[in-house]
Amino acid sequence: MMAVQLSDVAKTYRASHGSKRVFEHLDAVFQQGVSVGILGARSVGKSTLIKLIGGSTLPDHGKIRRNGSISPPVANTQAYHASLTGRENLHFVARVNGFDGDAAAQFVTRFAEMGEAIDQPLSSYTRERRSRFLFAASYALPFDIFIADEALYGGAGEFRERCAELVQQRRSHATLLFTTRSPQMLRRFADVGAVLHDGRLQMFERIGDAIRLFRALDTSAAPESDDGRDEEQDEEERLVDEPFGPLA
Amino acid sequence: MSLTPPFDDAPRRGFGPVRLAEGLRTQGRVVIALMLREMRLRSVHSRLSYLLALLEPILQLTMMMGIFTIIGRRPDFGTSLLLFLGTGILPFFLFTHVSGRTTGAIRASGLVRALALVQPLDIMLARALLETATLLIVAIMLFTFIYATGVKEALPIRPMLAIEGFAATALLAIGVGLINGVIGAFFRLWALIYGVLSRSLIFLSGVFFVPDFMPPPIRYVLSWNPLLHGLEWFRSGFYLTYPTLTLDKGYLIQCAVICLLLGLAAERVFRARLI
Repeated sequence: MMAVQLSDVAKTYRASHGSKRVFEHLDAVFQQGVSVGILGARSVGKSTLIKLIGGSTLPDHGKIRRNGSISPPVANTQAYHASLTGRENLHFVARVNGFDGDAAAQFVTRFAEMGEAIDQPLSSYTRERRSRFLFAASYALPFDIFIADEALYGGAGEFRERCAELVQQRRSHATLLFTTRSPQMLRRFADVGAVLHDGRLQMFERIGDAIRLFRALDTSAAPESDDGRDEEQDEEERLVDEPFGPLA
Repeated sequence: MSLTPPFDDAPRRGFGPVRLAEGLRTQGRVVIALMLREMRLRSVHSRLSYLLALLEPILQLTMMMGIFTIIGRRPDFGTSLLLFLGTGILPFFLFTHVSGRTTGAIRASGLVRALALVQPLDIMLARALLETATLLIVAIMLFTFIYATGVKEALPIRPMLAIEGFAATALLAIGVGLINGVIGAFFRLWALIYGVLSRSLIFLSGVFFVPDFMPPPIRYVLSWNPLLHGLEWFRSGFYLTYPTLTLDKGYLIQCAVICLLLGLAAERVFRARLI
């Protein structure tokens, strides 16, 4: 059964100088319980696609059907308020989705080794703690569909490894849809590969095929040995770019 | 933590009553979550700040009382100036607070499309309902306070009329609030402009006077103001012999419903662009 279905989706961004058409007739079906890794070069609309799937931006026309509850993009800070504590923020997201907030808070405290900090306002967190909180919180609730734009797991050292394991664990129970520029991430976390290019999404049963097409299309793609580092950098950038929501 | 997401057995289609009930339940859950968050956010800086929001109307009333006592004004109706002003100021505050605070709701929440289930309408509704609930508590506190000062009429003699008046005014305020919320999302300054405009309504809504005691031409002009009818309705619950010649309940309810529909339509039309 399908988890997310996009039919004839069009999206145009209005900029100050002219408009940019990202998608015109995009069709895609993501099956339930299947992890899809979406490869794409810079500025082909990977983030827009994730935003459309997650509902944080609306299509100009066309339909997006979701079957089941969908998470906010992994490590996205938009739903959190800097002056609320970690626990309060988790409770809010849980309450909106009809999940158990206490269980989520307990899970995050344990998994991210937060201790007392779970009851401190998010604005007081250090960088490391913040990223731990964000990643643990992203996987703390039992959504049917998880979505991620580039950052799938993060943190540093031992936490990073545990976080990657957590993603694998969630993946086995839920649908995971993520975008990346790194073929290695695809091999690690995806069941099905997809390539986004020129406003079209092509799916491949075999991940190798997706990677081959991606490499053929995108000559500037980094060699595989570099991928791990590349990914890490991307995600660090994101964390700097996205501070917590507005201060009260 | 065990993690077994509930898989749906069959895709749900159509708009049966089951589907509708499910939708309403989800919306209710989202609005309540937003209200709780909003309440918590108001008391972030100090635990007293929410209490102050409750006391604000009472403080304003006290100040007005002070001024009127100094200039030696008598109540237009009844024996207690405090009660006369109180029954006028409360529906007025209900209207200005609810419709005014909804104006910046979408931007202030910082939640626009952060979560798939939270839509701009939920954010506006949550704020409007929280403000209505706050004013209900204020009303209870205010009239208990007036009662405690020895004015026995502060206990509404026809409580149903007072409650109906309060509810109708709240409906009007929520309707106007939805329209404001949509305008405010595009036009930041609107909150300020609307604030000035709505506050100046205090002179046109019968807070300080009884509309029926006005000369007919003035009464006719004033009667176009729907808020005036809300005030009349509310006040008639407190005074047994309050003159309600001007009061047109149908007009107030019509205005409220039209505003509500306009607000909902505006939200639907501009949904994709509500930041």
